[in-house]
Amino acid sequence: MVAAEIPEPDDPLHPARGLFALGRPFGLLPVSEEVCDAVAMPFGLCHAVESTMVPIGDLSAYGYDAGRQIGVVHDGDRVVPLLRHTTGQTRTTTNPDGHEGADSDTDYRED
Amino acid sequence: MGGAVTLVLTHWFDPTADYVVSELNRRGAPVFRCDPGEFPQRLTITARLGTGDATTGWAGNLRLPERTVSLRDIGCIYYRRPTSFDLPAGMSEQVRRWSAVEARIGVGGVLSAMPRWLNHPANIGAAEYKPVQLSSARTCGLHVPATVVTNDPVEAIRFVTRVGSAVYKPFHPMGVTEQAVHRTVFTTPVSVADIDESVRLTAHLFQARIEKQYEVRLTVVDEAFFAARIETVGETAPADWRTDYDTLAYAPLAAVPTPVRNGVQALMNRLRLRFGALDFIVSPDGRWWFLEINPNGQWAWIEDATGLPIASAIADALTREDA
Repeated sequence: MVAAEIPEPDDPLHPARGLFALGRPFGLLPVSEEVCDAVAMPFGLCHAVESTMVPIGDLSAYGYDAGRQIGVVHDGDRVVPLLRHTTGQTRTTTNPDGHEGADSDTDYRED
Repeated sequence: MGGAVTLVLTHWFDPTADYVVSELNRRGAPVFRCDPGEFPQRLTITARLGTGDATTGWAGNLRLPERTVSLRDIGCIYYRRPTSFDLPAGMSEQVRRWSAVEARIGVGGVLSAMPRWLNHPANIGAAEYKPVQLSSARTCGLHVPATVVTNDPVEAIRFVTRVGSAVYKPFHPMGVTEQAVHRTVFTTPVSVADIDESVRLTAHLFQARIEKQYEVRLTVVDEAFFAARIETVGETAPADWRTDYDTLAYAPLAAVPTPVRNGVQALMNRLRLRFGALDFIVSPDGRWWFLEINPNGQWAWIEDATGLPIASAIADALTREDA
């Protein structure tokens, strides 16, 4: 494998992918009040569509079983594994690589 | 803990990782799950490099309040959805940036020096470059649609004219969020009339549009191949099935054509990946066209929809001793 040049990190808090990429928890994305002028909008973004954000919901219902090392959710009086409450399919715009963007395989909850 | 421990690097809220951890638990295989985001406030690292046996690497441990793992006991690392470091409040912006770099190179560096991964983050990063994927796939014998990467509208028009039917694809589906509205870019059919000077504003990828018989999500774990046929239920088939998961139907495919299997295996080896989520279009003539490989893609929804035992295969890969 050819060794890759190591780029300067552009944002140390969310480092460039390829080094040791880290994301944002729960897919939290930065919010901007700024809106780009149409004249400065690249071709690709001219074709962007509004995403349907699936809300995570009440986070107080979720937890982590440190013994089994899996996520859990409170379902009434029961505590059940989180994986039984999702399809494993998510539709989010999370940020698995530390950048402000989505995973290409979207997960309805996160990622 | 004793024996080869699987280190799972991911956020606690990761149902996809839960599938694998649950399978490892079922097998009685030891697991240590943590998120770099827990460093430094919950996660502590100590790593020592001595002057003794030159064949040994870093020794020490990762420690959470509830459990500890010796670095020497770690067998394979599963890199899923780790999050950024949770640095203490009160740091100035500059100090926070400095601390984050130190943490990334220190913690990330010690872990990166470990020999066994699925997949190593450096290989994930290198493989995420779509132009690398496309040229590598072609070199490995896979069919790849004609493609141009350009910021020249004239070249884009020339390409679309030549191929007749084309699509625009983003290199990365990050989208933008402005005033609380998030917009995402999907694969979009384009015509010559659509192309204008806005192409000059950044790099754009245009590709020949392939007529679809159906699409395939191929999940590969080492030598194990799991193919799922994806079809759109409804009147309109979008150019990108990710635009509406609710309209999709899935079915496991019994076999992957041998040339495709060989090409994919070669591609995985070339990109130094043990896991990959690959997308193909199958054209009416039965040809498999490579679209992309996601080196850290989601797969649990495919297992849920088809019963393909992907979590089990990942657990196999993480615990095998010869990888």
